[in-house]
Amino acid sequence: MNKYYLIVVVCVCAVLNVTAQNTWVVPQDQKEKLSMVEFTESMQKSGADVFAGKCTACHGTPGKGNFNALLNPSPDDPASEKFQLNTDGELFYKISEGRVTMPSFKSALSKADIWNVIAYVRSFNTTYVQETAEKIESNIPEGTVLSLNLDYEEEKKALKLKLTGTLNGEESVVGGVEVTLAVERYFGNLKIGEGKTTNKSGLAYFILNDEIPGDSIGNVKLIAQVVETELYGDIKTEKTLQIGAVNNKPALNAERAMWNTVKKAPLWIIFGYTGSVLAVWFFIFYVLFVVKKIYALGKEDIPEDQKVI
Amino acid sequence: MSGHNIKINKEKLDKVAKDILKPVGFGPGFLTWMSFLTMALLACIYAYVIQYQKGLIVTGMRDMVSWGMYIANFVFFVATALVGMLISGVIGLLGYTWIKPITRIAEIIAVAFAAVAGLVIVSDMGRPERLLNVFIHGRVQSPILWDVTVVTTYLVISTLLYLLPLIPDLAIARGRMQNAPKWMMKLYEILSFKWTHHPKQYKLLFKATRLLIILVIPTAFAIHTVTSWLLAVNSRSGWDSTIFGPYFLTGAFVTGMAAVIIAVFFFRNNYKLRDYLGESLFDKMGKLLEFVCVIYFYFNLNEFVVPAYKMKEFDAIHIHELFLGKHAIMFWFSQIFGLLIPMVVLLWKPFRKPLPLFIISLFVLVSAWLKRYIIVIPTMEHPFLPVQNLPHEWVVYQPTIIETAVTIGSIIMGLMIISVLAKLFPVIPIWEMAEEEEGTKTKII
Repeated sequence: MNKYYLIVVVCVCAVLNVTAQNTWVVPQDQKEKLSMVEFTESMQKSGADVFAGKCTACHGTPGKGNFNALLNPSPDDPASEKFQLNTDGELFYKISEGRVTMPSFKSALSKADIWNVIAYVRSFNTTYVQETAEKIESNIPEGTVLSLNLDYEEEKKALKLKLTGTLNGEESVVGGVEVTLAVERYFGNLKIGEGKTTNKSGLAYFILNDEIPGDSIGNVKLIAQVVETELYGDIKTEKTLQIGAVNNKPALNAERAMWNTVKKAPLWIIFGYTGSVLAVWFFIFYVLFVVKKIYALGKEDIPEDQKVI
Repeated sequence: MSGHNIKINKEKLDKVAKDILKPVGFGPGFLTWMSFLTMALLACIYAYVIQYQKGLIVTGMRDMVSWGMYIANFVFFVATALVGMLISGVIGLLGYTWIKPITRIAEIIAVAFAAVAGLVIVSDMGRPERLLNVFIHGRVQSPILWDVTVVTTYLVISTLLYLLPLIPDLAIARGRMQNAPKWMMKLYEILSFKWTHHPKQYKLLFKATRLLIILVIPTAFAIHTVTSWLLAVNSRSGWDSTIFGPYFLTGAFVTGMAAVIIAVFFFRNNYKLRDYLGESLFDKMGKLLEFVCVIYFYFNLNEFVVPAYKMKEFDAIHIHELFLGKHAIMFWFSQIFGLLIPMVVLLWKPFRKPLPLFIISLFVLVSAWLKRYIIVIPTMEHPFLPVQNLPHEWVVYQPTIIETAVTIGSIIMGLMIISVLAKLFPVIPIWEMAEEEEGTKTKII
């Protein structure tokens, strides 16, 4: 009897364990949810207070790894990569709704509190670049000359686009304008992510998730531009940065290939073509040589017994 | 080479030479016919002049359909030209002697159609004065260069295959055509290469002809396979096929056979050569046409039924367009009247008599032209790459009057070459017909 009981317990535990390991699926619209405002230091501070009161019991202090490892699913350290890979919207959803051992906080905390906690948790991530849902009106005075600046921020591993406007010698940042970033390549440029809107500081960050193949020293040519050219004019900037992977492969036209010029055609095709042409024409000329011999025979007498007619 | 010595029967030669040489020479009937053709050709040349001045914009070809009637016509001409190889090469090498009276007619068609095929390609060029660039800057990797090479080579071999067996005939004719104009006799003298009917000369002639007959087979295979590759190396629906080479080749045999039958029927009646181009010959030609039709039908079955069974996304669009869409009438006309009906009715002897066979061949030839149109144009109308915001007239192809006129011009030119050659030289090899019967069956083979 006890034996069967044990088996059942083990099975239940296994099932629970499996469910706990399952990924926590967040609805797509919730996943894309963004804070209306940019996280500030004061938001992080009040977030830290809330965290100390409601979260530390299970999650420990972020960055210390002193979370309650006995719980299933494991609460984990909020500073860990696994945690930080969540979007802001995912974190918001998970804190609000809860699951199994994680309680729901949607009635215990205000929405502002939850965002404060997220701001605090994000402060442990140096590469984090915030996106906001804030509507920034871009009231650009007439006559402003816009210009885009492109830089790579090593710390955030992100490309920083800065849109500035100059009017009467005074420079100011321009927010609320959609910009795109692309990498130059053969046959059409490669877009990096979706278009982004510049924030209040006139900045838009593009994160490189994958390594971009560069040239022999890792140079990559980037092209940043404003999307609505009809509204703002054709504002574009190009910059070559050494941020790509070093690529030592020979150029597509360096070696013999079907697509190359005739001088770099594959040898088999050169020999195949010229060989067959020469072979056929050799016999054509041989036939002409035989005709010449026929002509020469015309002067020769024919013995009576050999006459054809 | 054959060890036999050729022997020509004197009495037979007199009769054969008299019959065959009778229609040779430019009579009033011929001149009327030629002036009619010249007038029509001038109108077509005028159309070409307009195209030369204004460029290909005067044709129906645009961004989407950049290969139109000209390319279809080119494929048709190359296809028809292949018959020279089929008759002299394949059937000749197999040792059949019934082809003797029609070998020269087949070669005339081969020479005329191969020569015009080259011109048709030029008519498809917007800047024909840059033709030489194809050779100077041609890429050895491109089937277009292979095509240009192989069409030229085939034309040369066919011309030699036409001229070489003509040598003894011209020597025979020189002594028998007292009333012929002087320039004609001079031409005969030059082209007969001091022929004295020396047995050694015959031996050399057999040797050279035999070599050419062997050479013409791979060349002809190459010419039409390469033509099919111009299409088949693309991954477009309707062209993306591994059997395109043999599919084209067997189609060419059908087309060429029909052209030869039409020509033979014409010479039989107009040149009064019923004794040499008899009913049994038509029966044989009918059987050969039946045979090539069956093979071509087999390839058609593979070419259309297999994709139609699978109905892959893009193939399905193409096949619907052919079977039920806007090309359906042309498609079914060419398949039914140009292939299925001839293939069935030719099984019965009465249909292989000269007149019925002639009528069937007319249908086959017209259908063959339409079939080339069906092969080239519908595929061009459905590109794989998404094309957006094109005006309707750039997407749908409609040949213009100028384009049609230039195409008709090419057909007229082909007819003119055939007409001139058929009046300038005897259309049946006299010496081969006058050979002693027993034991000396020639010898070229």
